[in-house]
Amino acid sequence: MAPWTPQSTLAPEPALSVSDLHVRYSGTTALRDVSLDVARGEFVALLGPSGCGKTSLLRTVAGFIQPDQGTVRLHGRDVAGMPARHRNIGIVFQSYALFPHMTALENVLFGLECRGLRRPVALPRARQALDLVGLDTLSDRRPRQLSGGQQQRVALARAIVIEPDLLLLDEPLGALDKQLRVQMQTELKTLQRRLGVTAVFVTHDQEEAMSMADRIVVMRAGGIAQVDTPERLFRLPASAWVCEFVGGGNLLRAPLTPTGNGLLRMEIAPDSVIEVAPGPGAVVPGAVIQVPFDKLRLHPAPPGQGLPITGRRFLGATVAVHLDSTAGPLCAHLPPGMAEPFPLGARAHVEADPEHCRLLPDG
Amino acid sequence: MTRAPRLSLLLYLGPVTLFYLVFLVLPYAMVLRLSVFRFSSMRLYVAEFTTANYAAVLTDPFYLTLLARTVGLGLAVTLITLILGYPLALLIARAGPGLKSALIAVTLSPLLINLVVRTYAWLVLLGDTGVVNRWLQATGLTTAPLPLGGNMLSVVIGLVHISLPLMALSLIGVLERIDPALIDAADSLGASRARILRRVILPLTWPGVGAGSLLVFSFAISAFVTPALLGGNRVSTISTLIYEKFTFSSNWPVGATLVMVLLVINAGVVVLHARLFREA
Repeated sequence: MAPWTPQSTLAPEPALSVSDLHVRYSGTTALRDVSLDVARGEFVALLGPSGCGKTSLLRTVAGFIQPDQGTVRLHGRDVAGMPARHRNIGIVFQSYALFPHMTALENVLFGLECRGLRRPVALPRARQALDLVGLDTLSDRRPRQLSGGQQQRVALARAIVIEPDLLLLDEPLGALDKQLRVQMQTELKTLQRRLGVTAVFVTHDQEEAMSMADRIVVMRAGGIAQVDTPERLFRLPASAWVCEFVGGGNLLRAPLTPTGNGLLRMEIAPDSVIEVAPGPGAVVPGAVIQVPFDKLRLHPAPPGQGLPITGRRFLGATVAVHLDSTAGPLCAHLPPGMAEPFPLGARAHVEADPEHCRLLPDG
Repeated sequence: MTRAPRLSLLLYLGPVTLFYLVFLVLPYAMVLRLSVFRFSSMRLYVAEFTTANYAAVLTDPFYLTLLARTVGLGLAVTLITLILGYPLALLIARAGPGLKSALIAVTLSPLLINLVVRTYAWLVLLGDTGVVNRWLQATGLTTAPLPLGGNMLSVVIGLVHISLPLMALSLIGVLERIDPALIDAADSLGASRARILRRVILPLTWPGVGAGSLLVFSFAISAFVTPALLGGNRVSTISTLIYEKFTFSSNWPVGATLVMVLLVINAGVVVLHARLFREA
């Protein structure tokens, strides 16, 4: 069997399985205790701030970094010590890393050439890959004669033409301007579905991760903070840090006191409280209340009462009204028509239903 | 174009233009003039126009052999420094910061030694009673001294020694400009180390190979001290013969003609280089 054929006939093992991975370089820990399974055909985002280890994880899977501990399995096969060139992984680099001395077509042909394919066999496949990314007419151009978006497409064609068992994308859209980035997000996702290729992509942009990924791996300080679907991650973050990073809502920090009806109460102004159900398990000291931006209700308050309105931002579909509370700043997303009574400098009472609020561990 | 940029252009280029006019163009003009004058054993030259000097230099087998030997020397030195310098430059370009500084210092060390001292050191090493021959005989590897010094071999060794830093620096420059992600990309696409070298690194360092070769070749064919001291009396290059023509035999017109021929060869190499590397 030719080496580039995806091993799709094997048992339903995860396309990628990483367990207990530790990577240290020059004294610092890049990855600690990272375990992750990616199912066949899944599109997974590694999301985190810079230095969180997401690129280290990608490079370890690619075979550019040898882990100090732990295993990487591709379709069930332990690839410890296997050089990158034998892993059959397609990679789209942040800088695209197109060979500047080759045309778009030659770039795409390179991987096929490495697999020993002769021109008559390789050429139609390379042209088909370029066609797939909509660049068939520009195949004779050198990378520097192509725009950023076009280079990105060539990089993608070059990565998929080898029919990889896994597609890795390292901040693939980072260098594009906003409009093109959104367009490429859609195209990338469509292409990935169509090819059925398992893809892992690194990004620090939570919106990008949310809009493209089936599941998001939130990374922090070399470890995994949470793995979940975009919606669950947004609604049910595992910690205050994750909530803040994905923009999942307001975080209120103040002492909690039990109420008579089994809820916990937090004072956010002398005359305002937020209540939350304790949920399963004991309440951790220093717990934080998460209130989604769209679950806060505002009522006009006379001077001296409620919370001061400190700012307003027009977001298009909604208006963000910012308030100051004794438990931290608050933001409520209101439909534009509903925001009228809350100008800058006015005051408002704030309330939220306990079932919309969640208790999160701080940090 | 407005007046201001023109003025600043003059300010930028004025001093250097003046310098080259006085110290390069003017001397060469004088040498060119001399090369078309007639030789006179009594008065060095006679200010009468003649093409006889060029005819002699370009047809006399003595001079043609000399030209061929000089160009051959230049090619040999260029090729050897390229073969020695490329792996060295690869190593330096990929080394960590500490090792890199150390290796660059060692690579540049030949340039830090005075030319004459360095050349005499090679004489001491390569002569019939030099360190190398004495060691070879002491260990019984040879019975008689090998002809290492006072010939073409020692000239090549001496020139390679000085040229290697020039070549290595040219190559390190282009190697360091290669995006490491290109190597990772080739690696992930299934390329072996040999293929990465042949299909990615070599083509991308081609301009450095060209620049380094141009530098070393021009340097080698114009070098004087090294062939004069290490070549003994047996090796003559254009440079050493020019010296001889202007001093011992006092044939200034032929000496000047040889200067012009050397200039044309070097200019030809520059033009050839520009043509070959226009793409890059």
